[in-house]
Amino acid sequence: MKRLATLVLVLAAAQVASASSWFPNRSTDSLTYLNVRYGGESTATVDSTSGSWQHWTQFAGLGAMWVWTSSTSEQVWIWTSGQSVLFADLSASSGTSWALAGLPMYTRSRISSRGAVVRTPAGTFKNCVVVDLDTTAVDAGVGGIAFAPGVGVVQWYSQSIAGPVRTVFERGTINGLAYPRPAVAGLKVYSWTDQYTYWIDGFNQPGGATKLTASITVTNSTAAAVTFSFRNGQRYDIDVVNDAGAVVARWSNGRPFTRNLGSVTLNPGQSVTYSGTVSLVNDAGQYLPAGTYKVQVYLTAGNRVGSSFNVQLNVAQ
Amino acid sequence: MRTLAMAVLALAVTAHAALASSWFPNRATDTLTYTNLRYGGDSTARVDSTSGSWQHWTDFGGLGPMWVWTSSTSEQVWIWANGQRVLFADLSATVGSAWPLNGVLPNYTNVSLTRRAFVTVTPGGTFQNCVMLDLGTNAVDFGVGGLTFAPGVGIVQWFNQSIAGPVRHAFKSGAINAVAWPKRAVAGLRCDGWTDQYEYWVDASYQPSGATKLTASITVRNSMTQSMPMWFMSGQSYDIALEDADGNILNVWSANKRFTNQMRQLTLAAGQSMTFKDTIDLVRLDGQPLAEGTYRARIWLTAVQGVESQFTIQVRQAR
Repeated sequence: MKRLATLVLVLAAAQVASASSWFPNRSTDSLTYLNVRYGGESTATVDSTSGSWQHWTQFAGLGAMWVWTSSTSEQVWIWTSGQSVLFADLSASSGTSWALAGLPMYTRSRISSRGAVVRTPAGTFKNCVVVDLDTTAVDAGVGGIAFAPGVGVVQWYSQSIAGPVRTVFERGTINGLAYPRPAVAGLKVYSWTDQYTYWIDGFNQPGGATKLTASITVTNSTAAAVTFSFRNGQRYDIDVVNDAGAVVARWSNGRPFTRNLGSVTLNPGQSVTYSGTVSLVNDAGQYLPAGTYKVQVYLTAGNRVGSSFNVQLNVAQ
Repeated sequence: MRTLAMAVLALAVTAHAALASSWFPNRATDTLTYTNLRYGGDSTARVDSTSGSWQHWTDFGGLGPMWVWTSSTSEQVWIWANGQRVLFADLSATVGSAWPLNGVLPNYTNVSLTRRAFVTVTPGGTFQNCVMLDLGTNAVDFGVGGLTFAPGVGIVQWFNQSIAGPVRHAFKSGAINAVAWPKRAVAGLRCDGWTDQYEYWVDASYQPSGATKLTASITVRNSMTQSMPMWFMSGQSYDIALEDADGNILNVWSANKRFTNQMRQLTLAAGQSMTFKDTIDLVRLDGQPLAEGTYRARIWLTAVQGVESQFTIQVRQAR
């Protein structure tokens, strides 16, 4: 271990300044992998550390291994056959390769793709870097090792006589976060109508029309901005639909809108609310007959979001 | 005013029905604006003077300024006109009850209770459990009728007879017990929905049990003051559908599930909510993967209330 400590110093001095989040490097992390072809799980944890060196009980199908990473570098070093070997620099461009002296059965490592999206039962991981290994055997060996930022190894393939066997990150704890992440990360929509039962004035005199108010709030709970694109100045609509599926009253009817294309961008966590009131009369100004109606309130964007409610219309007389 | 004071005493002593009345909020700060639905034009009624339980209204249902007696322990309405008081009506009485006006109101002979427990809709709101009074008059082309009282509000409507037919006056806006009308409260159902992603990454090459899943949730809250019975036609309470951008259904959560045939009812008490959440595979019903593109996800309650949330989602291919 004394030699390892020396290495730590040497490596720390030499690395690039770019902060790496490839490996959270926490000794409490635990990653359970699933063999997708044959079933069966294996778990990788750090059971020993020495400076920036961590001893993983499992490293991308290569078995137990000392691995060096740091928060200021994107290099990954391994300790094998009594020496340290640069396994890969995850900041390198696609095609860059390194000689793997000392790792039995393997000759070179190579970055085969960058910016890959890898989906496993534990989640969807973007901006992955995939490292392939050249091996001296045709029917054995590991390849397609996918490193996900902030997570570590999320996938690899083992060559076998029956073909490649895929092993994926299934679940685990990383930086205290449980994977798969249970978070709500889509759009949220919150809507209401001001009544469930609407009473229509049976006297049917001008000015007495019953009105329905509906509201919609859309919240962007994703991690990225979401843009809603509109064909004109209108942003939302409220439809009142009868039993036969026909729109019998609509908020936008008779309202002028500018013809300009428009958009609303919701940044992560942002929301937008629209409320409108529609008279419960048809285009001819006649009160709607009693019955059940479906009220739809929605953004008129191409990526439509909305809600609908059935409401009751009764006639008071 | 001395006479009025005596009248107050007399009425208070004669002990009215124990039933607490909320027909008239009886606040001196109340104002009620009425609109003439035939010819337009507004008029406002308010209390400009009080004496015990007597209140002087600047207008009383189109009958002009009037001293009116009401109390919180009675449903009787007395009026004071031409130097005498008379029981105008007892709003707790049955339909058909009538009260002679004894000449207190010129041109009117009596008051009768013509309707109970009905709903009146005016621009000011929807009023349930109304009581209507009609006034007997000795003129055919003149007079007030259809005087409608709403609990907790007072007069919400009356009709004036005219040679052109009845002219309706309806409560339009006002402040009653410090509450502004029409009320702007949300009093229907509320719906909260979400999907777990906006962008879903599918993986066509993924091996067993590999389909990307979409999780959707819907919460329905009863914001009304009364409970809401939710009828379901089977054991199923909700469903999730996946549609293409044109609205063609590609997959339905319930497609491979069985439910009891029993109709059932869940009651959502006032203020209560219920949440349903489930997942659907992002594949077609025949198991075929989805191409990259824009899709729609819908989640809804299968109850008659049909509450639903709809989302556009993006499907992308992981490689």
